[in-house]
Amino acid sequence: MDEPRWVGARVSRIDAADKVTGRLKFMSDLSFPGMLWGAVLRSAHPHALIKKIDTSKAEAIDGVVAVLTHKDVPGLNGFGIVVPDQPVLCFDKVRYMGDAVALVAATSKEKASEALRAIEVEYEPLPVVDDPEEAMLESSPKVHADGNIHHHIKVERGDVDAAFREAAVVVENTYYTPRQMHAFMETESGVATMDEDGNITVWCGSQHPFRDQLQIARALGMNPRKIQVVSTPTGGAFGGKDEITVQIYLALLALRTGRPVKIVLSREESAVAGMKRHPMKIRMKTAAAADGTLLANEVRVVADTGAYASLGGPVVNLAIEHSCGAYRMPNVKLEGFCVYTNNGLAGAFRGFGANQVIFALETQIDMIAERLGMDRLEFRRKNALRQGDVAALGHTMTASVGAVATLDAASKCEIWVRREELKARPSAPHKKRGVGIATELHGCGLGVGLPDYGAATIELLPDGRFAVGVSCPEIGQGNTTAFAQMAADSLGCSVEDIVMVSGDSRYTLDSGTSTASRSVYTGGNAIRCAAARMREAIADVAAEALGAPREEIAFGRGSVEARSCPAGEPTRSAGRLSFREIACIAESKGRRLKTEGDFIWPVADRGVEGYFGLPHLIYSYITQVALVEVNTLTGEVEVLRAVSIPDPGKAINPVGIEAQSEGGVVMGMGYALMEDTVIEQGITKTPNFSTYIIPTSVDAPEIETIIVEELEPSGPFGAKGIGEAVCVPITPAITNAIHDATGIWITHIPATAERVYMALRKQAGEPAGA
Amino acid sequence: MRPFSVTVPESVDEAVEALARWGSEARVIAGGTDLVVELKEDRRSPAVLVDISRLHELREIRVEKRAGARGEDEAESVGESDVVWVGALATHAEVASSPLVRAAAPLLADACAHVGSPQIRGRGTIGGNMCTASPAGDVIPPLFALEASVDVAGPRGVRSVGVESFFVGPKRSALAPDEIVLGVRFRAHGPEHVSFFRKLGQRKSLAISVVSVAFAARRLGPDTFEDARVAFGAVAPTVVRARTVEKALDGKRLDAATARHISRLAFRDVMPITDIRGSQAYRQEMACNLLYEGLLGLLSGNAE
Amino acid sequence: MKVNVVLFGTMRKYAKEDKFQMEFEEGAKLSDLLDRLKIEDRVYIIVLVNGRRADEDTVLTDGANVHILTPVGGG
Repeated sequence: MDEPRWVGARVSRIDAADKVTGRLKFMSDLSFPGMLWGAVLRSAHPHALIKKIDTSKAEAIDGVVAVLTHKDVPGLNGFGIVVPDQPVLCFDKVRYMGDAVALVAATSKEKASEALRAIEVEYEPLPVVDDPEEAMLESSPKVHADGNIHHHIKVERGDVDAAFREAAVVVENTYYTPRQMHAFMETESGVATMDEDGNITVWCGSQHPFRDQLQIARALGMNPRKIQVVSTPTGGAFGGKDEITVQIYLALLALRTGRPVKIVLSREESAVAGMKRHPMKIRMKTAAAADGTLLANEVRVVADTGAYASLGGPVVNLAIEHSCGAYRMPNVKLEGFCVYTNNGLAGAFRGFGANQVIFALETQIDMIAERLGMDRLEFRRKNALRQGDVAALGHTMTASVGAVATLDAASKCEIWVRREELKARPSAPHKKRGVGIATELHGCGLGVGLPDYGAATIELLPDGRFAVGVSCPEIGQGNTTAFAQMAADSLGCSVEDIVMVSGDSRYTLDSGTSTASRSVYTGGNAIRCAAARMREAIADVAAEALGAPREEIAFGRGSVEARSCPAGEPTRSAGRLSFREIACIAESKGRRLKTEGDFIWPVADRGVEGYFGLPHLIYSYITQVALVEVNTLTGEVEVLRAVSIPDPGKAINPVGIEAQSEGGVVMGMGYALMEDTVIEQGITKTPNFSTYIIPTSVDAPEIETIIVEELEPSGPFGAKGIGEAVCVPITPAITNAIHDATGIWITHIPATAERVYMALRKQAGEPAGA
Repeated sequence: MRPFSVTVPESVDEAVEALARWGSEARVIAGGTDLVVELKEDRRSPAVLVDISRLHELREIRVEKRAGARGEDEAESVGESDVVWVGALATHAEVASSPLVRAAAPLLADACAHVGSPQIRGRGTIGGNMCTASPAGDVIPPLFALEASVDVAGPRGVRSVGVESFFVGPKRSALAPDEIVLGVRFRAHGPEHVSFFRKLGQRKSLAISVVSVAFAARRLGPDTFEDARVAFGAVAPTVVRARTVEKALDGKRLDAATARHISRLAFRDVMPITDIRGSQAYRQEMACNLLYEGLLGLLSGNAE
Repeated sequence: MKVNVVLFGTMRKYAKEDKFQMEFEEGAKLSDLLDRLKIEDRVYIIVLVNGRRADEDTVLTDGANVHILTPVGGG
């Protein structure tokens, strides 16, 4: 094949014009004739028994078309990606404030709200379980009948105790991380419709339409084939739309009323009921030899998964896998608990358990380097994994490894090279500047023990363009643009000749989730496979039409020709056929050129016995550097500049990588400095954006992205994945920069101005208020 | 949000009449940046909104009274002790960018420039910020430091209230239900005046003050001030003047150490609470430190 | 004809081994295979035949690789 023309080029997003002009309709923008408004009655208590539900007053309201309770769930009254422990509609008890107790459909939003107020539910409140470590005690009230420990993982390798005895430096600390909210622009929203044959279509932004289809089918007791799920476009997801959100409610209401029904969660409802990042308490003990060789890491993670499991188990597994970062670590003792409480709901979130442990680990790494008197970057480089090394979980790193390459690039970036000079010039004498660095590796795909598959379809359209279908939804990350670029180069046409079909269970094949930094790698490989088959099909048509032997058909840009034809004759008679002509010829013969491609991920040489999804074979790598200024009078931390150095394998679209990188830096900065969903006694205290603080554009630093491409041979054009890693090490890069500036160590994020100020006072030996 | 009707008076008298007619059922709406949130969350459910946005005369920013005679060419300028009028419907954006306010009371312009976001500054009004009467309202500390007075109109006519008497508690003002705010007046600063406004928020924009401070004084020398007025936001049920600090500053030669010492006296003037944005202890410290930081700026000549 | 079957995750409970071969008559469908393994919950499962999502009507071919799992997620 020719040199790629589109892959690696700075191509504008194919959905850019529609998005910036507002032409693009998200699911919450859709409207259908006769459409009803749906609404969800949420629990009035964080933990209570349901004694009685009386819907009669609500049903009597004029304009209210349906009121549904648990009695109206035809199939399994439960959902959950791994275990269906979350009731669709609660029947015996409620376990958090976001629990759904009843649904209504009415002719207006106001009528729907009125109906919710008219539903009478009698509760018997139960003690609230709000501390995960207390929840683990036998004596604690049970959120679920079979106990509060949903999942426990333990991995040991080598002998940590011996290593701790021999080590020159051992540091041990406890870290606390916040309950970050995804804060997508589009709240959980959608519309469901039903046709005259009883088929249901659910239009709802999410991250895996085919799995949503199965979860909806399970709850409705319906054949999945009668349910179509459309998940593209999604107005932001970040993991928060991986689990079912409102899809089952929509389907139930459409099934009951036979009319289109729309639900749009308010921001407050989304904040209370929606998914969050697991808060974790992490005890970490890390050892190194005098020469700076890392020897051992002992880790204990307690994660608060809230009321239901969702992906809590896999999140804790990945926290364990990532807890030794991008380093060789010969002795490990790693243990994680995923615990039920009445604190909202936690599940998938960009980074998937890595953010918490990498914050802890990268702080430990800086502490050890400081104790050993070693340069922080050199210490990381010395211990960084190389290809062929054995990783912490015992598997061999056979795929591309960019840890050292990203650290090398960091050592040359401006804010690292000039750090002493930059630190010497704060904007006021009471302000202090520091530079911090952190690095990580990030698993791509679902890991060992679970076949991670993908598929793509390609159809030659009558006008000579190609329809390329990959189900992994476009959730804002830009995967459809990357797919179009890879398809264009695989087929030998222009990006403008690709029509992407995405996130639709009827018109695409199941290609898995838009999660786990996997969609570009998976979809790309499946597209490559389908494209090779399409070229064969085109060559067959061309050979027949041109009367040339099949092996003489060669591909040009947007056309094929028979090589043996005499040169210099520019028309079809010369033996050249455009894709459009191929389409016409095929059509005239009643043939439709459509091919399918599939792909299964390669996996690591060994798994971790008893735990699915561990470890990964392919990782992306990233090093991030931050320059901060700390106001010692207030504790305010300003991130002045950030450098983000990802290794995504081949950068299919550098603009897309930069956008991911910049968004990731700001998200990881919010996590480091300001974001936390505060829940007290099961009640969310930060249900809107005036109390849940995310960074604004004014808070964002100047961000430079330096792409390091360690090509992955198994990836399409050498690509891996980068959606998650970009938001991870920036958090400890910032907190390490605070240390560099002031000498205080941040072990509890977010490092709000108040926390930083109080730590500064403590460091100075002055208790606050003195 | 519950249903309501809207009446749009064409004059102040009509507005006052509407309020008198509807009593506690009515609520005045100007920019709506606070009220609409309250309506949406059902924290208020008035039957009638009195939309005063057409009362264009309340949008004016002008010199109301000249302190001394000046020539034609100075008509647009403002001099020390001129009385400045800012109408209640002037938006934060208008006040922040007004050359008159920037010259006469830069701390007020600064405070307005730090309210919310560009969208909120474009809609929210200075009168609205006062009527919400939040202890964290950003325009209020500068008005305290300017010793402004507030004109309010009601069925009994127009009365003028000292700004400190206007605020009586958290979200409570001296405004009667049938009164509206017309605007505020204050004396312009001259070349000898120094001032600053500093707000500590949880982020740089779209932030509610954790603590704010407004400072105004007359400079006697490079490190000496008199007639200091210090007001803090978000550290008491209303915005408060720090009179202990003001007395201590008067005529005193300042260096970093004395500035720090005097700033810490602010402890005596504030009584913050703990809430989602900050603890009592932190707020107390920040009242002192924001003032100290501002004084350091004045001493090093960095601030206005 | 023979098909190769691999069970993943919670699906392992349906056989003694994770990987095994099964014999079928020509023309057998995936539903026949699921029947023989006594897999009753056929809504929330994913079956891949030669790496592709299949449904109960999918006709099995000699040497086909059948992977049976529940839907998963991960990061």
